[in-house]
Amino acid sequence: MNKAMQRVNLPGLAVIAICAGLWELYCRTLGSGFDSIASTYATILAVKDLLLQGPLLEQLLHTTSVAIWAWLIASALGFVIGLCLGLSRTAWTYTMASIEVLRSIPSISFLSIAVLLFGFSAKTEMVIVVYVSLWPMLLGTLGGMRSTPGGLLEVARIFHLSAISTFFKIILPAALPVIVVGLRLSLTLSIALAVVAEMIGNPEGLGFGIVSAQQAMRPADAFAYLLVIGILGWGLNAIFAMATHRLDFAYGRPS
Amino acid sequence: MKNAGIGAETILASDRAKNPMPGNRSDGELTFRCRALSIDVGHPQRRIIEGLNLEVPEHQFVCILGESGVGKTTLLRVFGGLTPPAPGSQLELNGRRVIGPPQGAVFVFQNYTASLLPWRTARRNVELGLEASVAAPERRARALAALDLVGLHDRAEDYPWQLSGGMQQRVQIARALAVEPKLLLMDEPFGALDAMTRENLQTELRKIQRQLGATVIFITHDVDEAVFLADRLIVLKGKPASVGLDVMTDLPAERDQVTTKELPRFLELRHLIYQAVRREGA
Repeated sequence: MNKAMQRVNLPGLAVIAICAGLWELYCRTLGSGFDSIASTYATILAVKDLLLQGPLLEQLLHTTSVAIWAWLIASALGFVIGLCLGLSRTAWTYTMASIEVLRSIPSISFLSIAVLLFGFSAKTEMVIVVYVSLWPMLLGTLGGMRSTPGGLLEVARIFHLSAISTFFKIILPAALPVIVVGLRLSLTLSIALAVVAEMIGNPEGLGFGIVSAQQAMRPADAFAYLLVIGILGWGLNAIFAMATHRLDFAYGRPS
Repeated sequence: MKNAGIGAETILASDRAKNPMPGNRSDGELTFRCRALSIDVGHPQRRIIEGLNLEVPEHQFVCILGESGVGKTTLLRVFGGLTPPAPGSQLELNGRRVIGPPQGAVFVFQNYTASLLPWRTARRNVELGLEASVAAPERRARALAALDLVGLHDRAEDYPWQLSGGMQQRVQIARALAVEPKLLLMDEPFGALDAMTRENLQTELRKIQRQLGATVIFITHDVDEAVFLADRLIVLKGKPASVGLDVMTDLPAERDQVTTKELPRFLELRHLIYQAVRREGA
């Protein structure tokens, strides 16, 4: 209990509370003339209404499940492809140029292509989110595989480790921190891209909700969606950080 | 090269009587032998060691000295099969040619931070060399015994980052000892440690070496350390370098940081080595 309390960042929370308070104050005084903004209180009220009477819960579940599934698929794919490219010099030589080209195209521009191919559908959303969050994981795995410290490889030679042992006992664990960074970036991207894809390519979820609120000229609802998206992103990242906490300890980054 | 010094030559000769060089396949279990060993490094290739002959019988503690840049580390890496020598060199351990890291030989690196697995505890680091051949319970016991030998039994479950530099280096030494090597190749293992830790580890290493009966080839640029530890001292000289001085220490087998260093023979050797190293520098 005490430990849990220690982990709560009180000054950080205080800043958020103060900002929310100041925003409320602004909306009630100087900003009271604008129809297109919603105060803190109105936003929270809108979250409550949308949750109890509106489609918010369903939308939240949709976006969350797309983000998580896409993240898992992208991570698995990215890991396997990164592994192959990291292990095979030939594969790397043949694909490097293509990877550089593909990577430098802003991935969001593929959204229109996906809509052409799959229509305004959940498929479009999934394909785009997977495609985008594939990259950090692929490049993370590849980078990790290719940057095993030379000293550790020599240790493997000294103790006559087999190729398989060298991979599992040296190369993979050495790459793990970079792979975890890839996983985390992939997660952040998959949440962001799920929302974007819903705004443009699939009329479902939180992204669609925020667009509808905007088109219906309901600023309080739009702000409410923004708040919920923020909390979703923060929550998933927090869970991820908690899950990898033990790893940080083993790798010498005590928190 | 030409000014190898008469003193050195006579010692070499008397030494030869004790350790007959070629032809004599000595009685011992382990003989490390190299003949006409040359080493090239860099692009374009530059020869740093040429025509080096050396034979180390079992149980001997050999310290190799020389100015920095003379090629001590590279030479040891070649001994350990980590770097190939120039074509035409002969290098063998127990009559077998060394092509990769040989069985029964273990290398201890100067840079302990780069050679311990940061994601493994001290004990699991020590177990690394045993995993292919020894079952888990015995492996654990042997790892703990090796850690005990270097005085780290109570830190077995700590990660390297939780240990001081001296402790990390001791973990690396324990990892080497755990596989019960016949030949220990050590590259300035105490170079980065403070004077106190260093002297303690010297005493421990000498004791452990006598207990295990391992052959040790130890690189250092610290003359006192070399004389204190060694049964035999070798100074690399010249450009490209080869053996410039090869002398038996003839100090008592039991060494002590205070009394050994007060012996006339210790001072004599110290003088001799300093001269040899310095002359090379001039």
